[in-house]
Amino acid sequence: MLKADAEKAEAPEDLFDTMLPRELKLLILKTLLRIHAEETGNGRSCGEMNGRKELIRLSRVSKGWRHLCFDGQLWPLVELTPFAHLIHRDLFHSIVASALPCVRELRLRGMDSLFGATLAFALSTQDRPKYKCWELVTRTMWLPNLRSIDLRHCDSLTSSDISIIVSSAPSLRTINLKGVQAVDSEVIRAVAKSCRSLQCLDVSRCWKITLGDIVTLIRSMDAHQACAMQALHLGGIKSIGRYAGDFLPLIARCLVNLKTLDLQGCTYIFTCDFQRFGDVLDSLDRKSSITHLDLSGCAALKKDVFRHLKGRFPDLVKFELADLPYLFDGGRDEDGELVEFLRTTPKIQKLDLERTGERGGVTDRVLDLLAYGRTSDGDRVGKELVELRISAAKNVTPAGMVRVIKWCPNLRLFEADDTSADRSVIREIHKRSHTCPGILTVSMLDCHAITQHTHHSLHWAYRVRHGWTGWAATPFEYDTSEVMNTVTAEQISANVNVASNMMLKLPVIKTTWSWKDMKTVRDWRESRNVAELQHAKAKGLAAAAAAAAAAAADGGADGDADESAVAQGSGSGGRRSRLGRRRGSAASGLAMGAYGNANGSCTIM
Amino acid sequence: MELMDPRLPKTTASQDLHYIPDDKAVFACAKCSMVVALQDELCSRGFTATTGKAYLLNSTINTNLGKRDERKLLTGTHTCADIYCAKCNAVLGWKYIVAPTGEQKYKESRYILEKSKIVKENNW
Repeated sequence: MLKADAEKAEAPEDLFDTMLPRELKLLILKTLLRIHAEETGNGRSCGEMNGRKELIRLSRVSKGWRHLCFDGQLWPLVELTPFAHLIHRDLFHSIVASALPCVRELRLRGMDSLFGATLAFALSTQDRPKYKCWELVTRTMWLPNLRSIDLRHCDSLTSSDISIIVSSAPSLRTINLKGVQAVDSEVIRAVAKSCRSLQCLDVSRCWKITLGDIVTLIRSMDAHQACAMQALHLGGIKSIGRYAGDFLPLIARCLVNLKTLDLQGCTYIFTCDFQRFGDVLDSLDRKSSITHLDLSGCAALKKDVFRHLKGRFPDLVKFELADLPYLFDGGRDEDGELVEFLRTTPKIQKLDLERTGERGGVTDRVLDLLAYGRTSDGDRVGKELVELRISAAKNVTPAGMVRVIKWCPNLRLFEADDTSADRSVIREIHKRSHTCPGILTVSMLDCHAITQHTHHSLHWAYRVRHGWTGWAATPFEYDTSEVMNTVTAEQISANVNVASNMMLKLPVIKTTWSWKDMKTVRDWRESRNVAELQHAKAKGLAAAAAAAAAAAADGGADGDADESAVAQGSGSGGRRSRLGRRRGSAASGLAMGAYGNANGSCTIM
Repeated sequence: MELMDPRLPKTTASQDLHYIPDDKAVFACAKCSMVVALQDELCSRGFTATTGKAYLLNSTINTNLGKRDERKLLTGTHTCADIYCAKCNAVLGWKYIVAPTGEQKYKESRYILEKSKIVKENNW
């Protein structure tokens, strides 16, 4: 008996569980998340995601810890995309159900095995729904704090699932449904009925909805809702019925604060629609507030559309008019219309005219306007120009390009593929890369005047790709020289006239010859596996490295052994996912070994 | 959860696909809007496929490779393999595996994506 007492006296006191109040425990976990978020690296879950994984692992300690780790305060943003292929639906249920009252952003991008039933049970406010039928369960869904939802690539949800989620979240600001094929007019009607403060709606390439649905949506909005609307992405939208012609005039009349209008690939927008748009603005004596207008691929537009756009968009910052080779036809003075339109947009920063100048229209006059043209008030037009794309422009001369590069002080990206660009342009870029404060990216692919000799006379350092670091960049296998955007003077040849301690930014120059000199990369899955292996080795996690090597050898794209711990359903420890079963008992041993001691007890705190 | 059908899939996503930040300029599959390549990886725009213009890219993501076969193209007989979108299995183009002459060697291990099958997204 004395021995038992002595043992009891020696057992360490668990101060964390007994003494600390809940708020302090949550603060400790929030700090843990912050520490993880500050780490960087090329592993699959470096940074924020590592913190989330840690939280999920910690939730398996005890029921009390599970309640703590899935507390709503730690999950204002539910983003599980990087390991969505490993998350069991029970774990998803636990996370979402406990984050329910506090969740502000739900990012469920890529969860294509997530069925409406699973989501409905997770989002239901009842602990154990009495109803056997999940459709009745959906009536108990209520998400008052949800501000943003991202359901891209969730292919297993039906349109009624999406409508119900939208209806149960009245304060939604951002809805991203790009490419979700289940979206149809039922979803749009649900949005019209329940979203009172919608700011951004993205339904690009949802093939089942039409412009008529969007017209219904805008018509059903009252003044408050219409003023709140800021971004509308409708790429590829079709148009059936007579209501479609009302679309642009309705935008002019109702959506007064609209900043982004994306109609990429919408072949049912005609010049007469823009004429009516202009007429409505004139009658209300107002200009449009749109700053980002995307009309790329709107093949039904004709070149007199510029007459109706002129002067209507004084705040236009980003204008996309790519991929319209039949807009201009080489007629007389057609570039004048484009020039007059651009003269009225002094704040223009990004301009995409790729392939639109294939038959004329994009000429030196346009470039000269951007280089030193002025508006009617005397403002310089191209002073804020950051990005200019004029690929395939037939009537642009190298001299015009040189002038644009020379006189636009903020130019960062210049794309002139398949034009007559030659060595004078390259010389100007060379001069410019000394004075340019940011990184200059120039693309001159397929330019026949740039020969191998011209290319090899580029005797200063440059790189071919704009590299960046992190897990997302692993399939591209960036070198350190492509990622580092600075180079010391010692590393470049003596021909460049710089001070020895000055750091230069490496410009990005893309020509056919620069690509021919580059090595090719492996298949994206292989690159990722290799990067994971290297990261695990670098971190010194020998066990994880061995498991990652086994994973690579398996031929699958699964994660390392730690992932299998995540994959197990949190409710039942005994049930293993498909991944866990393949690895066998080694997996759970590894998972515990990473954090506990040999006898399996958890000694985190 | 006994109320949930045990026949439903166990995990929330069926494939381990690659996602990149939303601010990069990309090319996406025209059918399912899955990102298949970065615009930064574009090597050339001057290729022609059966359906029209095609782009040569240094690398792609979220694609599956099909069977190898010998194809007679404008520039000679190349060994190619079809490229499929990993999500919707649409044929997007092909990958050059072996090119016949030294002139064409730069195409090896690079991908052709047909312009009609992809969508350019600047993500500005």
